[in-house]
Amino acid sequence: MIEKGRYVMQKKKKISFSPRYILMIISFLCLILIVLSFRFQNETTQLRQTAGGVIIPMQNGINKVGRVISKEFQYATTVKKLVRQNTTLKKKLDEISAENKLLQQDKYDLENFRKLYDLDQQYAGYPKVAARVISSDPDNWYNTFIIDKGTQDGLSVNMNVMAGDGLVGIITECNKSYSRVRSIIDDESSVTGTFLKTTDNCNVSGNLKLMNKGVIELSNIANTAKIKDGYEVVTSQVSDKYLPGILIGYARDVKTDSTNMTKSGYLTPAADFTGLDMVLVITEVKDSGDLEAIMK
Amino acid sequence: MKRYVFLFFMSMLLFVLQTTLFHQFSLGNIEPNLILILTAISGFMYGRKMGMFTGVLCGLMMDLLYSNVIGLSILLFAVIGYLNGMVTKFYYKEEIFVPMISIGVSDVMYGILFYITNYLLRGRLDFLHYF
Repeated sequence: MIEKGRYVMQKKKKISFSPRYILMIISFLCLILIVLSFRFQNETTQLRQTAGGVIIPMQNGINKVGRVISKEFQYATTVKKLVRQNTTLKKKLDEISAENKLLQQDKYDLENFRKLYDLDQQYAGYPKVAARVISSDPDNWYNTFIIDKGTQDGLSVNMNVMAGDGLVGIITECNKSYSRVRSIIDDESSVTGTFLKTTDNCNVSGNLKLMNKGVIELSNIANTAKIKDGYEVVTSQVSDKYLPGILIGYARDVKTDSTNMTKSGYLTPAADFTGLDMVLVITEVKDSGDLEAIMK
Repeated sequence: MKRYVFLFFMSMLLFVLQTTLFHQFSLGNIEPNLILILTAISGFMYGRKMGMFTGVLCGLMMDLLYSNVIGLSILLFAVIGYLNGMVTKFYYKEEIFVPMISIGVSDVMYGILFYITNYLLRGRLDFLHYF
């Protein structure tokens, strides 16, 4: 009797669902979540922010540790190299400082010319903030990364991000202390560009397939345009989110499409995406409010 | 209970490592997908329920931080955890061959499912390339 009683008690304690049903419940909940989050994309930011508040500081910490370690490591191994480099660099410095004097004179002339051509509101004049890349996506499918500046540093959604002298991407999500950037090589990214020399418009879209070759897609170029390899593509005036005149990259292999209406080709980005560490964020959002009002 | 707590912290740790440090270890643009491996292993070692639990955790973190739609990765990871839980009866401590295969299969499956949900539905048909 006692044995039996115990048995019953144990059985009562271990009421558990079959994993099969749990999986079904999870799938069902996920489907609802997908639909809901797709429908109310803006309302999910609060949720993301809380998750980011936990994960981001940890990522930051690990990055800091990694940076210190790699610094020490490099210090130990590269002293010899540095000495050798130093002597060559000193020689170079002499040459360059002489060259620099010449260039400075040229620059003075250039500034005058710029004023003449009214070009000084080009992107030399955009206000910029430097930010560090904390982490990038966990697998190879997306091409987004997270930078360590957010709304408290004056950033907001749709600001353009540059590295070196080329466009890198655009801020798609901005939280208090970090923001998410979608790079132009991402499969879902698309930018309207202009050829600097011929002022023909084109469409620059990321493509996962071409990413490994270091190029992205260039399409919708008018058939009449005469494009040669190496022509610079900059962001266009027409674009609604990207500020005009930022260098995107250089055209390559532009050919006429089978439709005979347009041309398409490849573009080598000006920014180097393999070792992104510091980026510049232009703290100016393109004001397309008027345009949106018209479109509505 | 202990296992749940352990898996919770483990998945968080691996997620952080994956997104920061492990980009350094990539071979030819391919990185080990740690959180997927964790999901597969926990399903394999502890059964379907644990696999799903880890899968939901990992998927949630991934969705919240890196994708536009919440729920998709949760579903994928949970399914992978569940399927790995189904082969848990082949689990012996010394055996290394079976988990290796199951992790490999999970990775391929994850890739295919991800391709179907995120790319095929947008009309990118060149399956072999993304593979």
